Amino acid sequence: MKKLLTLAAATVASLGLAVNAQAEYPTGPVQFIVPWPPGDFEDILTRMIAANMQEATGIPASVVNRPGGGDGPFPGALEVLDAPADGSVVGSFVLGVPIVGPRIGIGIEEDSFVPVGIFLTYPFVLASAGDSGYSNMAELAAHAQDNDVVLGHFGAGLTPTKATFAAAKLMDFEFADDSAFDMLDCNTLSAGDADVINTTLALIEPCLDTINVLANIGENPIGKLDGVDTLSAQSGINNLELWNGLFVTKGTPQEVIDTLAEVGKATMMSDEAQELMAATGAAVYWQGMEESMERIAIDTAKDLELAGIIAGE
Amino acid sequence: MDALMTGLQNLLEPQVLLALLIGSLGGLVIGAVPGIGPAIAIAILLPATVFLPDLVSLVLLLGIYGSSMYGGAIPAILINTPGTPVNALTTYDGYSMTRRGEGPRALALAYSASFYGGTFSILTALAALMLFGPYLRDLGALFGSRDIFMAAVLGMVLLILAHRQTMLIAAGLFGFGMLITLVGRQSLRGFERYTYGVEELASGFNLIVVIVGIFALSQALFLMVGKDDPAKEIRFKGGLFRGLAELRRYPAVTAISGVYGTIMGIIPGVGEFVAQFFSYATARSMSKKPEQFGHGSPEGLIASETANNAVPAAAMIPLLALGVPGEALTAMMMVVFFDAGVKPGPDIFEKSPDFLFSLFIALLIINVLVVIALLFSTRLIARMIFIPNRFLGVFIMIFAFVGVFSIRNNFFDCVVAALFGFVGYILRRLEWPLVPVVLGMVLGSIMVERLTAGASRIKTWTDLVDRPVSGTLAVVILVVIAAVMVSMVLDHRKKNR
Repeated sequence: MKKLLTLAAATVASLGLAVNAQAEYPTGPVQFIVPWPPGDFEDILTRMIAANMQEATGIPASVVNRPGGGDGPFPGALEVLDAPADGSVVGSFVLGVPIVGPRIGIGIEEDSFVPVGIFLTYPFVLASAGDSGYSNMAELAAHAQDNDVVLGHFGAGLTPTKATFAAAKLMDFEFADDSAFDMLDCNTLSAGDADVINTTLALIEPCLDTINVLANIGENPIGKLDGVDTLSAQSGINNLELWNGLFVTKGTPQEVIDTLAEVGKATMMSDEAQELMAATGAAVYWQGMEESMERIAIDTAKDLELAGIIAGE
Repeated sequence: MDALMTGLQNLLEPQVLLALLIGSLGGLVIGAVPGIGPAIAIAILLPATVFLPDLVSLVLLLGIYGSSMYGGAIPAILINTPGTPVNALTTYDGYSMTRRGEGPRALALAYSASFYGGTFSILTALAALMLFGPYLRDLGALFGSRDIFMAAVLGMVLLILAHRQTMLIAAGLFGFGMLITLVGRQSLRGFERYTYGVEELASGFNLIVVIVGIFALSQALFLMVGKDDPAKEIRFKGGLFRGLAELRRYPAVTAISGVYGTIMGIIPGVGEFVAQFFSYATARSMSKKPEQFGHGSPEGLIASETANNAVPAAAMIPLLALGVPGEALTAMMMVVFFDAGVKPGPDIFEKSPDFLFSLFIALLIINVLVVIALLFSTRLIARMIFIPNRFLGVFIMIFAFVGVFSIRNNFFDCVVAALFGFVGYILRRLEWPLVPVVLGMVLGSIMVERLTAGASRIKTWTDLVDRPVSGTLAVVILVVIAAVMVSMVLDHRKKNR
């Protein structure tokens, strides 16, 4: 009995210590959740924001990567949703979270997240192996008539995946199969896991000289990709761009949002971030809360249009 | 030669040397505290690296990466709790040696084996990058989802076969570990697996939380409920370098484990686990005293620690030459490479030779620094076992709960860790192995992820094995199973005679 009492006392004391740590919020550490593996643009830029945040406030700020294991950004987004609405946990989300999230019945509502600001447009591309025999969408469409083509994407239902399927529909071809990956890089193509991948330029940078970039998803061609046209121009789908922004949960105080926005804006305007833009083809900027909300509304309509094309409406 | 000199000069900057020292010793401590681990430490430090010069950031993080496994062996040997997941196998023989009063010998052997594994793989990896760098692009094509899936299956088979006396139990516990990884919400597929409506389970079980619970908290309970063991004594024999001297008595085990660690470290994500179990199984089959494995065999300890420490340098090959990070740790290192303006690729040796030399020389220095620090502190560290069991138990429990809470400031994680602490406690009381549960989680999640990603290419079962690497691995799996079955039959016949 004495042993059990000692054990119980020790457990309670240990748990109490942990609870005390919790009581320090919201002055405690700030976590930025990136729902992808480290290494891509959103990760690099969010790390810069976290570093500046720590410097500006004196409060520890860190980035936590929560890859979705084939479920895209949603497991990470749900972690932010479950966090207290005090700015202690901030999401760094792609457009799929506010646009697709509310329509797949996982507990994310239209107003679950409030945008602090949008800061990055990805140089997002469709690429195939160098020896695939096709180097643009028209050639892919012709190839796919007689051959099985497997698509690798970051998650079925996510916007770039939809854009790819919608383009295929309009160009009258189908992918034989598709798989979701946490990471789509040079190895995915060279190892033959997929024939065509839709991914960001940063992840295929090491092998850019040996692969074919078929198209980029966005409004304008990417400067550093010579002769590569947009998916919109090649297939006739809309010109939806793929972006990333900072989000907090509904009910987070405006002061918290303002502080985050101030740091976010200063970070994106910094030389370091602008140099990244110049070197990689990513667009780095800062759009505030109001502008971001308008953009989400416009892009939701564009995303629905893509879904309509896929459904044959 | 110019590049070598430039690489060396870069490292001689005072702030780089300081970062080397802080990284190495910091990694040692971080590895030694169950629940923190190098991935968390690097993740915490990563934002700070933005403000530091590139090489300073890199050697700081390399120090943590390269030295944490040394540190992780300390609690594995002294308190039966691995500091990092890859030290789990070390508990089998290391802790048994401590129970026999041979803690200092086990520690010295572990450091020496780690040092050998580390330096061997650094030199081999550097030579491989210099000689074969341009051809490594073709190597990447060999490792697709199906190949890595099959490597994980090999890891599972080796793990189960390593528990010769309790194979069925080990297989069952591995399955339990796999089951744990399946828990959670599958957002895009629109269903929940084994969450039973509990919202907190939607994001699944965190590996580190489970490890801390099942190893550290169960050990804390075990120590607190059990009797204080007054019979503990430590035998200090020989000088500082007797571990290295003893290592020379087992040249075959040491050499083979180093080779396995280096070769298998190249396989992204599963290298250290597969290498360890392969080394362990091979060491046992070569040993004159195979019955000692799992009960304080120095050869078992050497196989485990040599193989796991050979992996970090080997893992740099796919990272640097192919831009393929195997897991979170190497992926975070890649972020630093990008920040430093180094683009991983097959031509990295032509483009950034001085950077490569700096990196591998830094890894060498880290190994030397750590082993010196450990050799001089062994006597002090080994005295940890003189702390009365109940104090040690309370200390571990407090550290474990604080560590778990600090991962994501979530109280539910503490509850989960406590539950797994009780599961681990029951397993310990039954004298069932804990390692298969953790490896079930690690390898199980790799299997599920890679099988899902490779599913488009798998129409029939033969599609799983019709690639060079996956086919070879499948043959190795069959040969290993056959060899173990034959040896079991022979053992059985020998006993009957």
